[in-house]
Amino acid sequence: MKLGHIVLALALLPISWTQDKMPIEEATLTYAPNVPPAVKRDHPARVQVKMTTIEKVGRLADGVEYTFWTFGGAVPGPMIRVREGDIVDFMLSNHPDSKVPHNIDLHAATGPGGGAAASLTAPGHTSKFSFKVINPGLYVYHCATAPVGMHVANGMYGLILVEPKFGLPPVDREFYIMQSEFYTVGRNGERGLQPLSMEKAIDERPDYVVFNGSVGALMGENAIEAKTGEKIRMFLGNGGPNLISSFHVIGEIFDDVYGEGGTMISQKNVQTTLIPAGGSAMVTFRTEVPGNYVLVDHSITRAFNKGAVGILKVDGEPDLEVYSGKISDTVYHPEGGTIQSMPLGKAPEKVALSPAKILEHGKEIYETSCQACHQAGGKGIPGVFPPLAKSDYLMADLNRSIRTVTNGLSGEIVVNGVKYNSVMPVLHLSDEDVAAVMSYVRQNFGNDAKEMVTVEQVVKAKSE
Amino acid sequence: MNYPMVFFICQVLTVATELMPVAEGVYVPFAKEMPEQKVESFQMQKHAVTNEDFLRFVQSAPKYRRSKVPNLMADQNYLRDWTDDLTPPDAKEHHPVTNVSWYVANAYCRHLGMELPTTAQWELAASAKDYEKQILDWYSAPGASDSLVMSTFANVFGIWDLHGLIWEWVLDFDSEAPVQAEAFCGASAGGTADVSNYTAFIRYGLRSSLKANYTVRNMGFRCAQNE
Repeated sequence: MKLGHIVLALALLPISWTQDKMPIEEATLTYAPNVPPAVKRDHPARVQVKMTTIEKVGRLADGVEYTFWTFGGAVPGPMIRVREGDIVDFMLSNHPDSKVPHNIDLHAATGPGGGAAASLTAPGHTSKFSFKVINPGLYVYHCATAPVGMHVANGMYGLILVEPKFGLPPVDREFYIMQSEFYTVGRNGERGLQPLSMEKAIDERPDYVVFNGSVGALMGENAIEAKTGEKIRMFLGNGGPNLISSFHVIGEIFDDVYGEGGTMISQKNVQTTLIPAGGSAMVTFRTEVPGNYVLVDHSITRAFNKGAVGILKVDGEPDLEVYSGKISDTVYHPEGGTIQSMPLGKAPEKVALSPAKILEHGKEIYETSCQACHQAGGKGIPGVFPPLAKSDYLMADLNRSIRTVTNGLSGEIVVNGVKYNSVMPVLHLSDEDVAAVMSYVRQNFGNDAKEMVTVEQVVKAKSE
Repeated sequence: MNYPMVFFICQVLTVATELMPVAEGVYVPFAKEMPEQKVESFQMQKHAVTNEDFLRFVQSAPKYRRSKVPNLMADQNYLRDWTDDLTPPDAKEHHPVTNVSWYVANAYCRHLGMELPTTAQWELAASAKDYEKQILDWYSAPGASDSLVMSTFANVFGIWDLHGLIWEWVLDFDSEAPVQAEAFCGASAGGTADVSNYTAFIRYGLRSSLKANYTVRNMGFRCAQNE
C-alpha cells in the first residue's frame, strides 16, 4: 500500500466510524398545537419516526362529521423535530382497517418523491425507509398516493422541523398551527357526515377553511395561551390542498418572519405573512398587552365565514402606554362643536316610521353590522359565532339581548344547547338602529316575536 | 393425479359459485401510453369467494391452511380472523373471505379450473360510471368491511358486489405498477388517461402498493373463466 492510500484510508476512517456509532433515538411526536422539545444534541443522530395512517370519522364543525384520512389519527399529523445532519429512519404503518394504501412525501427529504415511492404502504403493512436531513428549515409532509388531491383533501399532512446545527433562538412558547381547507358535498354548516366533493376540490371552492383540522380547534377551551412579556414562536404550515394563506394575528405584529419556513429572517415587523400551499412560515413576536388575539387567514371571508379563526389568549397586567383601551366615546360633529342651522333654515320634521319601514331598516343594519359573523339567515357558525335563527338565548331575555348589542359580550354562553366562548364587540349603533335591528332579528329567522322593540325599551335596557 | 385429489376437485366444482357471462368490450387502461385492450367475452363468478367456499378449498388443499402456508406465499395476516386452520369466523360463512394473498387466490381459482380475472376483465365487468357515488362512499367509509356477499348490488351482467363490499385481486395486479409508481407525483399525473376518474385512480393506487404475498383485511377475490 502506498503512503497516499494510507493517508486516504486514515482520512476516511473517522467518517465511517461516526456513521456507525451515531446514537439512535426515538423522535418525540406531538399533536397540534404542541411542539416537540428543542433538540439538545450538538451532534447528529439516527432518529426513529413511527407513524400510522388511520382512516376515521371525526368532527369537522359542530354537528358536521367528515371521514378524515390521517397520519397518527389527527389532522394535522404529528409534528416531527430533528436536527440538520440527522438520519431519519421512518416507519410508516398503514392500519389494517384502511381501505386504501398511503405513503408520505416529506419535503425535508432529498430524493425522488421525498420518500413517496419508498413508503407506499398497503393496508396492514409497514414500510421502512431512511433519509438524511441535509437542509434545515420547516417543512410540510403529506400523503402522495394517487389520487394525491384526494389524500391531501382528506387531511393527510403535517410539519417536520429540521433545526439548524446551532438551533433556533430561544423563545418562551412555541405553537404548531396548520391551515387547510375541506371540500364537502353539503354547504358550510350542513349537518351530518359530509363526504368529500372532488368537484369542489378541483374547482377550489372549499366549504371550510380551518386551523388544526376543524372549526374551533383553537377556540374556547382549545385557545392557545401565553402571558404578557413572552416571546412566542409559531410554526405555521399550510396543508392546502389549494389555498394560499394570508396569515395574520389581529392586534399583533410579527417581529421576525422566517419566510416560507427557511432559516433566515426574511423580514421584520410584518402584519400578514403568506404561507404557500404545501409550504410553511415561522414567525416570532413578543406579547405586550393582555387580551384575546384572533388568528385569521386575512382572506377574510375564509375566517369569518368558513372557520379560519383561532384565539391566542394572553394573560397579564395591562400596559396602558402600549394600548390604552377605549378612553372615551363622544359625539362627533363633522361641522364642528357649535350648533348650526341647516342651510334651508328649517329642520326636517321627524316622521314616525311604519313598522314595515323599521323592519326594512333593521334588515339593512343586520346585513351591514351583524351578518359577517352571525351569517345570512342568522345561522351563525357552529362553535364560533352563535346562531340567531330559532335562538333560545336571543328570545329568552330581551334586555339581555339589547345589552349584548349595546355593551358587547364575552365569556361562555349556551345557545340552542351548544357552548360558545367568544367575544362580541360593542356595536356603536343609535338607539333607533338597535330597536330596528332587534325588531328585525326577533321577528325573522324562525323567531316568533310579534311586537316591535321600541327605542324606549332600548334606552331602559342600556341603563340597567 | 391421485384419486382423492380428483374427488375433491369434483366435489368443489359441484358447489362452486355460478358463473355469469360478460360480453366482449374494450378496456382503456389507466396509463395513456398503454394501448386500449379488446376483451373477449368471458365468465365471472356471480359473487366473491366466501369463507364457506374457502373452507372447502383448504379442506381439500392442506398446504394452503393458515399454519402451513409459507410467508413467501402469504404474510402473517393470512386468514387473520379465522379461529384456526379449519374454522372461519363465527356466523360469517357467507361473508367474503379476506386477508388472502394473490398466490393463494390464484391457486384457488386454478384448483377449480379457472383463473383470477385480468385487470382488463375485472375493469370491464365493473365499469359502471353511474355507480360512482356508491363507489366513492365505500372507499371513504373507514373500517373493516363486514357484510355478506350479494348485499350491495348486481350490475348489468348480474354480477354482485364489484363495488362497495371488498377489494378484489386481479391476475395481473402489478401490470401497471411501473407506470403507477411514476404517477405518485403530480408531474406525471399527466400520464393518466382520465385524471378525473378517481375511482379507477384509487384501485390503481391500491394495486401498486401490493405484493403477491400480501394479505389485506378488506381484500378478497373471485374467479373468472375464459371461453
